[in-house]
Parts: sequence; C-alpha cells; structure tokens
Amino acid sequence: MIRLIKIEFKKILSYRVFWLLVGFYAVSLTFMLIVAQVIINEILREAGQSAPIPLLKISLYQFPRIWNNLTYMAGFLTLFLAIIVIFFVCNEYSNKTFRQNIINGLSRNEFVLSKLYFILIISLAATLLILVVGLVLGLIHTKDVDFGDIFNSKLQFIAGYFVEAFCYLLFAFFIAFLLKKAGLAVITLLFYTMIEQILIWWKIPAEYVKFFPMKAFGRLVHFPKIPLPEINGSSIHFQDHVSLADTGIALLYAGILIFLIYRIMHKRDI
Amino acid sequence: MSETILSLQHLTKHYGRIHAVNDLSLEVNKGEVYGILGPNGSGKTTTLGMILDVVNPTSGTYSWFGQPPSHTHRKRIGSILEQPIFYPYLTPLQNLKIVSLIKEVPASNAEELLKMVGLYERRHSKFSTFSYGMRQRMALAASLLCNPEVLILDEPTNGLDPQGIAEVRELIRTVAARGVTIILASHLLDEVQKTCSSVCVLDKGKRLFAGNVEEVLRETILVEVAAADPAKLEQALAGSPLIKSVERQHDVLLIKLEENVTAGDLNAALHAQGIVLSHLVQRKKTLENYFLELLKTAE
Repeated sequence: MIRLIKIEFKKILSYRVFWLLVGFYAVSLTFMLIVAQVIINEILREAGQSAPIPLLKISLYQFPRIWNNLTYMAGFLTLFLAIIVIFFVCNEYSNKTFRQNIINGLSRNEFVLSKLYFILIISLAATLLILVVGLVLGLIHTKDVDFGDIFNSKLQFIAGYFVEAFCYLLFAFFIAFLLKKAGLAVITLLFYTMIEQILIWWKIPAEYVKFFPMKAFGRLVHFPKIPLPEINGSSIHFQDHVSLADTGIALLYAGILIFLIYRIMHKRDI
Repeated sequence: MSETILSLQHLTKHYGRIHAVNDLSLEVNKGEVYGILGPNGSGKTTTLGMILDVVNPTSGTYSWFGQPPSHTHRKRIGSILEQPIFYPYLTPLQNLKIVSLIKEVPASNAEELLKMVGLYERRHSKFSTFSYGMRQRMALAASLLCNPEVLILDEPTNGLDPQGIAEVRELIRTVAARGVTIILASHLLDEVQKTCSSVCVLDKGKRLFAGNVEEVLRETILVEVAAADPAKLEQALAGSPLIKSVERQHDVLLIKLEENVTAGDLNAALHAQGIVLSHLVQRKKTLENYFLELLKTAE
C-alpha cells in the first residue's frame, strides 16, 4: 500500500499543472466558504426591503450547524476535483505510461488500487480542508464557544461529505477509465449529470429519485436546515442528519463502480 | 539441458477476423539471444505484448521462468516496446525512481546508468525535451535498472543514428556476455544475423521457422555458375545428382548443392562432361536469402 501511494506521489510531485489545479481548487473553496454568508445576507437584505415581515440575518458559521452548511456548499466544487481526477487518469492513457507501468511490473490490480488510493487521498484532503476552514470560521463567528458544540454529532456531515466526494470521484475515475480521453470524459460526466437531472424532473416518481447515482451521492449532504419559516407545501427537503439508507446506496454504487473498473481492466488490451 | 526462460504454447491473438498471432509455440533458453523476425505486421509486437500482459491472448498460454504468468516476473525483465515511454513532465532521475518503485529495486545505480547512456548531463531536464535518440537511450537505462535477467527489445535501433545503432549492438553484446537472456524483435535481418544466436521467423502471425541461426546459414551452399554455352550447361545440370535445384538469375545459374557437396565437386563433374565454367562463385548465404525463401514457400 505504501509503495503504491509512493508511486502515485512521485508521478504528481513535480507535475506543476496538477498542483496549480489543486491550489486553485483549495483557494476557490476557501474563498467560497468565507464569502457565502456575506452574499446570502446581502440577498436577504434586498429581499427584506419589500417583504411584509423583516427577514432575519442568518449565520452559516455557528457551531454546530456550520458543518452541515459548509459541506453542502463544498459539494458544488467537487466537480472541479472530478476534472482533476479525469485528467490525471486519462494522462496515463494518452502518455501510454499506464501500459509502461504494467510492462515494468505493476499488476493490473495494483494499478487500479493505486488510483483508488489517489482518489481516497484527494477526498480526504478536501474533507480536511473543509474541517480546518470550518474550525476557523466557527471559532470566529460563534459566541461563547462550547467544546461540545464543535465536536458534536453534526460532524457526521464531514464524514458524509467525505463519502460523497469519494463516490463522486470514483464515478469520474470510472468514466475516465472507460473512455480514456480526458475531453470526452469531462463532457460525458457533465452530460450524464444533465440527462439524469432531466430524466428525474420529467419521468421519475419522487420515491425512486434517490436511486440515481448523482442523486445518491448528492443526497449524503443535502440542503441544510436554515432558520427560515417553512413555507407550506414547499418541496424543499431540509436535512438534519446524514441518512444511513442514502449512505448505503452511495456505497453500493461505489462497490459496483470498483467492480466494473476491475472487470474492464482485466478484459481490455492495454 | 539448459534452463527454459520463456515458453509459449499455442499462443493466439485475434483482432476480429485478423489473426495477429496464430498458434505460436516457442522456447527461449537461458543465456540465448533470441531473435523474433518478420515483416511489418507479422505479429512480433503483439507477441511481446502478450508475454508482458498488456495484450490478452485469445487462446494459448505462456510461462516465464517455468511458472505461470505473474507480474512479479516482469520485475526481473527489462523491456522496451515500440516507443520509449516515460512521464513527459518528469526528469530522467524522477522517471527512473518510479521504475525502481514499480520493480521494487533500489534506484542507487540510476545516475551511473544515465552516465552509461550519455544522458547524465540532461538528468534535470524534462523527458518531453528529449530527442528521439535520447528517449531511446533513456529506455535502455530504465530497462537495465533492475539488473534484468531477461531483456526484451522491440526494434531497438529504430530511429537511431549509425553511432546509436552501433552502441545498441555493443550494449546487447555486453549484456549478453553477462548471461542475460535477450529477446529481440526486428524486421532488420542484418541486425538479427549480427546479434542473435537463435531465431524464430513469423509471417502473418504464423511461425515459419524456429532454430539456430548458424544452422540456418550452414544448411546449404549456394553457387553461381555460368558457361560459354548456357544451354549445354543447363542440360548437364538438369540430371546431376550433386544438386538440389537450379534457378536462372539474369545471366548466371543459381545452384543449391546437395549436402556434403562442395563447389569443387561440382566444377570437377562439369569439367568431366566437357563443360568449362566461365563463372563460379560460392555465395555466402545470408539470413535475408533464407528469409525471402521462407516467405516465398509460405505463400
């Protein structure tokens, strides 16, 4: 395991494009999390001027709700990580280094495994970044911080985000591995997401929606509960915990994807 | 009996209706320099791809070191297939480090190898800045990193300048002298003749011949003859028990002698029949003649 991670690390260590992309992601994510509250409150202020009842300012950064809020927002940028994964995997095909790795003595399974570790580490790093940004923002914005408020059950959203990111990146890896070409893979990923969304709006009864992969991954950290008066008949689904059933569905998809990747790996000439 | 390093049993690869490799069986023994010879598209690279697990055989099996295929065997094999492949954005040293991690060998001799192939000065340049010849040298360095027991080379002198070609030949000789088994695929007959001890000839995925290079070359003697009266000469040769075959080539006759018959025997016999030869040349048989003959009979 250490050897495979070392190999992956050597591949990217001096790869400047990779670090530029990762750096860009980290800065964007941090920036988004920091300015989100300002923007939302500005929108609320504008709306409040014409509303019959004054709308309250909201705080995204109060412990313990912060974990739900931040991980939900971070979900929008996971696509960026998926694109990094697609380029990294497809590069191994277009440079033929994948083939050379096998010739040099890596087994096909080891190659898949090394990429799974890579995805795992990327998901873990993104989750850690959110955790750190969350701690800093939370400590600044929460009055009378209580240790129990920081590390309470709402931290499950951090774990939820980790599973979501891993599954989503696995899906990207699968598409990249299947199609070999980075451009094609990125377009397919976006196109598939769109098709799934359209299909769901158009035909799929609500109770089946959660079984679609993008939804299954996205539902892990869904729309956070915000202190707004609930409007009658609103279809917005607020969330106050990560559902075990959703986690199960997402992990089942992860299992299927890994199985398919191994299958393709062994059937295919490299 | 010498130890078998590589053994192929009925190895077959079909791409749709194209039979890239067809029922190929062969054995390579320890310490041999084994040439796989054949025209472009005869299945050489596909065969090498299969024994290196990047191409899945349609049927048939192979074994390395007398054991069923495993990726651990490839760690003991140095190979260069088609084109030198490395991470373009990494330097030679970084690339060799990855190879060493994959092969689970120390990278301590990386610098020494780069010196040997003349790339030491460029050890901090990215691989993408290398010329084709430099890439080929880099591939040689990588293939030697693990102190291989077997070296697989596919068209190793492709795209090299004359100096590079001479260096690669020299390298093959040095490595072979250390007892390393070498498997060399090439369409260059001259190259195989100069470097290989055994040879297997492929055409359209089929094995036409496998055996010792010297035996091939020793097998029969070719003689060119001509006389003032060609018709009479041809008549005399037609029934002669000394020869296998006669073939007209321009203004000379090309004769294949029976075994243990020399050009002198032929000359004496013809002289006894009153024919004086104006031209008698013993042709050294090259692999090329033999190869072309084989391809002809295969058709």
